[in-house]
Amino acid sequence: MEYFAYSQKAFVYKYVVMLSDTDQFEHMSFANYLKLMFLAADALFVSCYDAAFLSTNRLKLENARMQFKKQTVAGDNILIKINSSQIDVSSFSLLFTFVIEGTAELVGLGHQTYRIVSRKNEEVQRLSDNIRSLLGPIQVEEENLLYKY
Amino acid sequence: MEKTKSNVFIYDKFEVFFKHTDYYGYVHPYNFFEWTSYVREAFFSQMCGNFRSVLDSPIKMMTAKIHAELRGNSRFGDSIEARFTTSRIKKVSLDVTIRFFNKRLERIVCETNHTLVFVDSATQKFTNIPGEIRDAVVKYEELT
Repeated sequence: MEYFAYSQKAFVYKYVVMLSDTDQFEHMSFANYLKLMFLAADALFVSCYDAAFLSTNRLKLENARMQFKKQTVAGDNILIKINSSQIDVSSFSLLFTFVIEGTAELVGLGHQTYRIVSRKNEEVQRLSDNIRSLLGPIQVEEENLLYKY
Repeated sequence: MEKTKSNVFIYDKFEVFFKHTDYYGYVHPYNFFEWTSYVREAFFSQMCGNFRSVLDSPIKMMTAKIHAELRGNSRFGDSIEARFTTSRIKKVSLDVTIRFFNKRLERIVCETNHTLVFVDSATQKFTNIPGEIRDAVVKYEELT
């Protein structure tokens, strides 16, 4: 991907900004970008969300942050590229790069840290092979990237 | 550093409904971002004497960055009190901290921090914080 310091695969989620996403200032309001971050993360993990996983595990968000670089308007096509980093025994981070499709203008940078816990008592669990198989191919080293998330 | 006492703007209107909950029955973290926008808008509406005139001016308020730390699980029926303070008030920007206090759990369940910048839409350049807004936010600045 040309937006990173070295070539890496990324999970990509596409979204078209709708009129209903914008406010009286004609731009998408900031909270909607955060919602998109959660939607894109859900899209990444949806293949893991079977009954067995959901009945015993929970992906618990520990923190999230986002920097806003450019405002978007209705009709803009946004690509949300996700990479993973800091994959540990039970936790990992997701890096989100929001760009306008076509022009590649940077819209925003997001970061989330998750920990997998037991649904029953919130005890920390090990990342399953299924989740590792989703995170592995998109893993990057944060310090080698062009952007600071 | 220990914080000394500062004014806190309280927004006490959040109740958790089903639409706020996730698959597991907890408040979805996204809601704290949305509620952050509600609290700051309530603050500016109530505390800035002529906020509508600011809205009608070319000066626009933009969120530059936001951070949230999740500290607890809230559930359906919980009442959440939002506590608004400011910090790092500079020429064209300021930071806002909102701590969400769950009354049932009697503790903070989420803290968000965001930076606001002011831009003149006519010139597309940063501009000074409008006087009405500066006068309001300085009263709620966290002192160290």
